[in-house]
Amino acid sequence: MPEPLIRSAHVVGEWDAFAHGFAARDWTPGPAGTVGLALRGDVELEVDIASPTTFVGLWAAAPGGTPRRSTTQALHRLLGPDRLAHLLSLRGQPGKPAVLHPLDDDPYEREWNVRRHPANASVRSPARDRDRGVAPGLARVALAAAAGAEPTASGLVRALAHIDAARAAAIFSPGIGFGARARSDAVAGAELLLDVVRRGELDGQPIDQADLFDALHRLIPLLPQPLDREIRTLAERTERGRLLRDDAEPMPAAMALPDDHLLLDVVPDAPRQRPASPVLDVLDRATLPTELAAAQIVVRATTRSELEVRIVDRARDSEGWWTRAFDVDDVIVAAAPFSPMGRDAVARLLVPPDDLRDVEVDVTGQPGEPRPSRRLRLMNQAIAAGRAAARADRLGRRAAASDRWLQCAAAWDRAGDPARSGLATELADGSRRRQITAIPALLADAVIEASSS
Amino acid sequence: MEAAATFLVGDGAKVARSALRRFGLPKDLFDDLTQEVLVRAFRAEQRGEEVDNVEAFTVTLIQRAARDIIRGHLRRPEGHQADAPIDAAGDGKGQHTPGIDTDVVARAHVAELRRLLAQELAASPRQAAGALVVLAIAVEGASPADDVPVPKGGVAADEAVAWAGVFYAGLRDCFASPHQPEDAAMRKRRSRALHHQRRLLQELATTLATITDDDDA
Repeated sequence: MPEPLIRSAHVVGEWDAFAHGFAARDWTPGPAGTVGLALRGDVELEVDIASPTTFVGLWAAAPGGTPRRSTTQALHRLLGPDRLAHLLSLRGQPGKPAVLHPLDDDPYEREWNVRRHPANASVRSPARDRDRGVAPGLARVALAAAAGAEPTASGLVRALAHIDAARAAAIFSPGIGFGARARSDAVAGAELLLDVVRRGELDGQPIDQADLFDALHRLIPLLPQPLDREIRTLAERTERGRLLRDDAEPMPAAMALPDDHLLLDVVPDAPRQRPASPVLDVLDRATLPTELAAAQIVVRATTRSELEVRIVDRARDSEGWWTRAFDVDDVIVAAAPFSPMGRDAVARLLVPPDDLRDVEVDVTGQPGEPRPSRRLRLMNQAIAAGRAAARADRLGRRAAASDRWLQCAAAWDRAGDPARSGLATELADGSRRRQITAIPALLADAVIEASSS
Repeated sequence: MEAAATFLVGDGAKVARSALRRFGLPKDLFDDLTQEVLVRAFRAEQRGEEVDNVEAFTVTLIQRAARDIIRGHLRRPEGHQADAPIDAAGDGKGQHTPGIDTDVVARAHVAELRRLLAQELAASPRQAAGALVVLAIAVEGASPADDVPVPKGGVAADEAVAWAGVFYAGLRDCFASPHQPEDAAMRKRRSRALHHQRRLLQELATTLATITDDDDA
């Protein structure tokens, strides 16, 4: 029998009578928040971004009180038979969480459970110090899926994310539905990548050739014909490109495809005239609507009391979007709808002159909807900084990671969460590093990093 | 929607607090969480989703919203709301629209008025946006840009503030442009817009006075 994919020592289970489902959890989410991974049978796993192998929690739906067969199979694969039985037995005790049985077949767990006894509270467990919660492959699938699902993700990022997820999912034995997932991710990733290559968008992208070659080769057995042949051809070209180089440094992927007949000419947009007024950094990007998350939005002070908010190249779908300005106390001071102006969507806000440089501007489709609280917005900033820091960590860019963890710590501090602020500070100075199982960089990480810098 | 709101006042509040606790989120995000749940329930209703078990549906929304918070996903509107048209039932057709009486808007009350206007943005966004412009000009000394249309001479010059409100609220078809010369229909639209904006400001001032009286009592 394969070993459980979640080997966290201390798992608390609970039956939720309201939501009709089982919950299991261990650690509180860290400073970079979590990503979710939907598994077979309506099971959802929560993975910590700062420490992806740390088990945060899972949720398993059980409508009517009885989990479906596929749900039970997935929980069995994740938790093992003893913990599954214990979790299911909690259905009779709603609202009473219980520590699930330890994994007694594991010497580390046995040792840890002896040491965890209150009489031995001062003894630290080596197993606990180096977290062994979630199988690294599972965490990698979750991170890759999340990278591809970001509303700002480009076609290339989504392609690489699908390929990474397929590569990681393919190694798992049956039980959690990863066989089908690997195949569908492989097809989606291959089609998107071929599309990107046809448009010539691989040019100059910082993708590690060796890693891409490895990923494409692992993809081939998962693909139907003729997609597998096209990916094999691409993989061979990628390898030739890599071998032509003397050093092992990453190089632009498209250099491996000098004779690719599929490449099309893409004429860049001609630069457009912009007003000479100063650009202000007052836009609240965290609450942008999904449809505008990747849009270029510029806010300028056009007079001493007017702000122009411009969504570049969105004249055609400007209808219905509004922008609002809020003062430092979060009181609305202006609101205006967007309307087409040339190729852009433009709105003009008349604000009190004293507030011009202190306002915060948002964009919304529902102008009457209240803003999220200041604390929630600060938390969102902290999580965004933490995710960027975790990405830099995976890429091995220590200095950048350290800076971003400090930003994350400061944002958590402002949001009134000293615990997460402290964790982020420990991640910044490296003192927590040894407790984290590193996940190698995702294929898409360097591309996201390059596009965001 | 109403059933979800009722549930959130009772057992749903416990579920919401439990969800916050489960994800290590602070208790004072309770209002954000329940607001998010109500917005999602409202959207589900708008999409015509049929809900057999309101409690289970609302609990699922609570859990998803709590998860989205810790995943760094704030609310992101799906689509946008249809803009409320200018109310055609107004009685200001073709009449002279006097200037906004800013005396009713004491400076100390501006913040409270703005909060009321923020709520009014849901029902009549353009009028509320116009009223915010009027407040900015009349009370805070904001100056409209040079290209904002102004009335020509006479008594109508007093209306410049109201015109700016209508213009910034996006009602551009109330004003002449190189592509759209002024005609009777345009003047009629403008007159209605100005009338409704003025009426909204007066209603707000009345509401504010009532609130202030209640507070004093």
